[in-house]
Amino acid sequence: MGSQRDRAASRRHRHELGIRSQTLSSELGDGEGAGGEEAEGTRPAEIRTIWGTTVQLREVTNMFRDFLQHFTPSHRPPETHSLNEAEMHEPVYPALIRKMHEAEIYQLNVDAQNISAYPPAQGLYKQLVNYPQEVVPLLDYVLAGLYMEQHPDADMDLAGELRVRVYNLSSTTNMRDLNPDDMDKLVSVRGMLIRTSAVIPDMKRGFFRCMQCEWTTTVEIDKGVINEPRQCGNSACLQKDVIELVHNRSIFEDKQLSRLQETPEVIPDGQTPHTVTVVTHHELVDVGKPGDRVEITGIYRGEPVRTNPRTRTVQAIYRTYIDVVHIRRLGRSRAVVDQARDAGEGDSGGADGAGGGTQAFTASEEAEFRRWARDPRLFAIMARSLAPSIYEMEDVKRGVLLQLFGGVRKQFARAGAPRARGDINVLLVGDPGVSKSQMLSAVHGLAPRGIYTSGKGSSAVGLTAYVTRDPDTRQLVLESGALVLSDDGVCCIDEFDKMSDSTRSVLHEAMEQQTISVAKAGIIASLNARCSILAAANPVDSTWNRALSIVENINLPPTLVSRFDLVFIVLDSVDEAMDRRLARHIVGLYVDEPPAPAADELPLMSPERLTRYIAYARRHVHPVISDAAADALTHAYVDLRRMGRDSTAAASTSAAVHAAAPSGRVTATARQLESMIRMSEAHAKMRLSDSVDPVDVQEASRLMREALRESATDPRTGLIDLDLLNTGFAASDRRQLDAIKRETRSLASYHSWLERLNDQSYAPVPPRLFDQVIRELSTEGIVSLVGSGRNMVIVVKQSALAD
Amino acid sequence: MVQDPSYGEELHLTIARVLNSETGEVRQRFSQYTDVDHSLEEGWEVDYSSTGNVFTEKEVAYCVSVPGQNQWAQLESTASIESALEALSITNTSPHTNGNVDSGDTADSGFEVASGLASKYPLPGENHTAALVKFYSPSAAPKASSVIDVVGIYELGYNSKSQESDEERKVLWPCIHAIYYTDIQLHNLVPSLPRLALSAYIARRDMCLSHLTLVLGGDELAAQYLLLHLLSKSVRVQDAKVGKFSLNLIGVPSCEKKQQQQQKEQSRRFNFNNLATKWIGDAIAQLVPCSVELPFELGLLNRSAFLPNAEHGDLKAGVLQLAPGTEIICDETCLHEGTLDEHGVRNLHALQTSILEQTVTYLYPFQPIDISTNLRILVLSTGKSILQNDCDVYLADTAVRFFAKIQSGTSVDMQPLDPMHTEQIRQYLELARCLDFNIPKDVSDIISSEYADSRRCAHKNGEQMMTQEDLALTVTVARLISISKGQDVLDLASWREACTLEQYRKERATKAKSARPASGGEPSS
Repeated sequence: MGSQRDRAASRRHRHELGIRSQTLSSELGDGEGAGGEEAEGTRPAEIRTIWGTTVQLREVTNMFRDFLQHFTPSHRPPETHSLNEAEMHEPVYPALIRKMHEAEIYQLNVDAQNISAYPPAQGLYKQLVNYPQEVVPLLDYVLAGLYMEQHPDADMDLAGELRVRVYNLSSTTNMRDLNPDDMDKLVSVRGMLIRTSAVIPDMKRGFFRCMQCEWTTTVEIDKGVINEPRQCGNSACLQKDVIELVHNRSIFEDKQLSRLQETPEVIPDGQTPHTVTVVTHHELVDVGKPGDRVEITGIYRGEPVRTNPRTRTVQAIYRTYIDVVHIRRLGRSRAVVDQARDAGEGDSGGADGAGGGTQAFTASEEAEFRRWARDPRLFAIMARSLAPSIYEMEDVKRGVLLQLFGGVRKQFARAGAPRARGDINVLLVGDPGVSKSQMLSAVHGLAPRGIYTSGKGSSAVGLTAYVTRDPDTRQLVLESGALVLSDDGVCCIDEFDKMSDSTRSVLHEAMEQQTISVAKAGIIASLNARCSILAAANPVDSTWNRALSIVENINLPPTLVSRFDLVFIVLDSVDEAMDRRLARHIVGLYVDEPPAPAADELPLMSPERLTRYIAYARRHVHPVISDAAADALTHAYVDLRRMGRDSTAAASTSAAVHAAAPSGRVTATARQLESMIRMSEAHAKMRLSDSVDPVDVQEASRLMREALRESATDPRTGLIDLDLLNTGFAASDRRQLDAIKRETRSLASYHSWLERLNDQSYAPVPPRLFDQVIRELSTEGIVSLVGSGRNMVIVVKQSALAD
Repeated sequence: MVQDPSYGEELHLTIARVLNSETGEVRQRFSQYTDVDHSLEEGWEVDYSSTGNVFTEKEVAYCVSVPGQNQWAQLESTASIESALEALSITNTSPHTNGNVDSGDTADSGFEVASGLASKYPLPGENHTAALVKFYSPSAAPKASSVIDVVGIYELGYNSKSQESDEERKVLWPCIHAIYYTDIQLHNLVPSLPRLALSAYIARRDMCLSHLTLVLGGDELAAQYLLLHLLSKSVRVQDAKVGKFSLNLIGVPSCEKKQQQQQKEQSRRFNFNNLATKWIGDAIAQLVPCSVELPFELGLLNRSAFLPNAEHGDLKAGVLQLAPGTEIICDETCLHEGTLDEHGVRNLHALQTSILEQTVTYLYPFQPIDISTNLRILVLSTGKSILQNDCDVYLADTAVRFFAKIQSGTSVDMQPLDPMHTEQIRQYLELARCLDFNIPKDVSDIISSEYADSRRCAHKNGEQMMTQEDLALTVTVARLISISKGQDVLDLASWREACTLEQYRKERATKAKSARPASGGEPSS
């Protein structure tokens, strides 16, 4: 069995990677010093293999040398590069080595895929993966040789410092699946660094001196131990136990122990995460910090648990760890990062930045998604799969789904143009006990990055960002709040209505500008908060009052409400057929074995699938609005606006005074058009389509109307009026307002205005309207106000009475 | 119980080739199911380069005795094994089979045997045993907080995780090399479960009910709900948890603050100091295999950790890391004014989450993980509880007086339950809980139309409408009533019974709510 053989071999070569070059020079024979001149071809063609392996020294060195000198991007499959012809045939690595020299960075990142794609180096990749302990030092050695050739003036000592860092293996291993077969092989694992130790100086060469005769010797590290010489080596001395270690002449190297923990995506349901120890040396120390998601390429090793090193025993138990060859930091976000952002940040760890934070989508997965996307019932299937335990609320689910996909963020090229947000904000208002919170938590589970907060418990700083003093360094640091943390995700805010006003006010900026500005304690910053907001609120009197409009029902400033693209009102309405179905659904949950889904029922997508699908769509689909769709959008918008005008004739009877003037109802504003665009884009994304087509617009405008019908309907006239959302005053309110104002003005003197008004009018005058009248009258200079609240005294100005 | 399923991984040289450098003789050493190093005689050496060496991987899990396991369940399940163990004298070199995790035997040779780390046991201050269980097929390792039965080889060995200091190195840990293990449920701890006929269920139900009525001072309604609560278990259906039935008994007299302060210094152990709650706690402990008492004293809430926490390396147990099926009895009567710090708030929030969602969050660094659990939570409070429960039951006045009497220290004469009856009730509870359940189509149709009708009526009369939650609760009650009678199919009679029961409960609640503020002195939130 191969795995046992190489494990055995590595016992002999159990030196730490950190000191690998020194050992190597002796293995390659005396004629070649580290970084010595090219010896190839001058020697008889003897085959030297590393004992116990199939690694042939000469062959490996030649192959890698050839690879470094002659590999060009043209060897890779063409679609992976977008280079021009000249660049395609330019060898990659000599240029990189030159850069190394200029930047004085003595490590070379080598993409393992390049090695396996380079035909002359056939077999090198396999040997590298199977015998990394032998092959990696050889690669270093070859690199040192080439480096010295290119830069003969370089310091000779450098040769020992040069490192080849291999990364991007064909497959990454799941931490859970690491097993004895992987021992001493090159593996690649992904995970999150959870702890890093302090930097430990690790002795790699001990310097010893005899206290009697000043005889000195050095001892290399062997199997992790430096064996102290027991006897003086000077033949004239030969004293025992007089050898002392001279610290400042010994050679140390940085070493760090870290722990890598599995990331949530790979943990099976109900299991706890696994961890593995990783050991980093030298330049790799402190590359990763706790909390970073990293991909580690390294050698999986075992080390005996030394219970009693003195006795001669078979040491049966080994602890495992990974000796790191390369660390690549992955994005910190959970699943999806917009492509645009990736390019801006750059890839700090990897050489060419291929692949971002996401797990790559496999071809089969992609095919599956495409298959889903072709299903005409796609939207319905997905809406059903979103929180399947929540019954009905089909339109709400659809709206939330579009929110998850999100529109396209637009940055206009022309200078000074604003950024248009692509995120869709949704507000759910409704009676208690209609699973609003459940919906929120379902979204929180699915969203690429989600933060769930409750309005009651959040403060303004908790949502935005706050400045604190770091306990260790006493420096001011900026801590991100929920909105900033959910940048590029969905921020779910429950109990939105119970938020304090000051907290809510910070949302104004976040929702339209998508930034959070902080100016305090010497820190002035503007942070990105490009998140969509899903909020849930209860009506003022805990249950929805049908006689009142939305603004009266929810105690939210209209300016804030208007920033939501979709406002859904979820009512606990009495509908016998629906109640019956709902009851059956609830009862059905209690049956131990759920009945097999009926044939005509829609198939369900599992939450994991759905998440992946959304991630895929968000990452790879960037639909552009087609001409047809643009037309459709224009039509839909005009239609929506016309809804205000068409019904004017019908409504005008109630407004006799304003018969000539339009009713002033507004059904759609530019904000609604923007929302519609975003939603159409989201719908196209869901279909994995690269263009927004009229179908998308249809669905978006349908949802829009649906939401508008519920939220912006004036309870008195039964007509949609967006002014209700934008200013809080419906057109009918306005007309009433005018009538009252006129009436008020005609009153000769002021004495309990309200009561008299009420006596006169056929319908009671709501105090809210009356207050507004008074305020407007005072700004018009007709009355002046003394005092405030109920005790307010209203004095009619004589000048006003005169006319 | 498996406290930490990924306590560590070990590679193990199962078959080692040893070589005699003088004679060239080769032998093999086997060390499956043991951690003890083979000592080699002079001249022999391990041939690490040999192809005959075989490595295996094993997964180490940290197991503790089942937290909250009541005395009677312990006795029954381990009596036979313990006596068997006594017959075999365990030393640290001779392996013996052993059937259960909890068996501590001291070895000689100057080493101490570890009795478990306090931080890895959910209940602080409680005596327990711990052992490292090593699984040789890591893919099949058990899940966190599950209860397992292990057959394996017992050995005293080293804990590879605590090797930092010399003192720790001297501590030997009980290790079990698992040859075979199976997941068990708590009802496996109840001895000799018979099969019951339908009529037997009803007889035992009556017996149980009358016993609980006595315990609750003659309050039959509360006793019914308590019975239903004891029979509940949560099941995951799609993405919702169904069947959970946390109960809040309201009206238990509150504990004197003075009394509490005396006890404050005593210990960190979770014990009820209120005699009235203690009474209920003890009665329940007699009936279910595992129950945990959780007094809401500010000090305890602020100090103890409810959630398992791995942020500092090792997975430390939290109070809520309990075996599925454990009963938690929360005593809110000893909660008084004071400051609940951030820690305490988090603890209460964790408890609330496990009531509502039946999940416990394991705080792994940077990524908390929700693991679903199955805990029955009973809250005893004076006024309405600060926790939101599935079902609130106000105790009848007779019961309130009964508990006030207990609390004042007067002895109550109640006939101790016949041991045979106790055993029968225990069996009944566990058996009934495991029953499958189904709602036939016709009953479900009736339920649906009743629901729709009641909503229509309520809407017409302007009354409070029945909500989804109300319906769900009533269906849960109906389900529990049905299985309490040993029926696995819901019939109309049980559904009607559930409706009536709910009706009574609500009436009592409205009466109590209107009466209590008037009587004064009762804190109600």
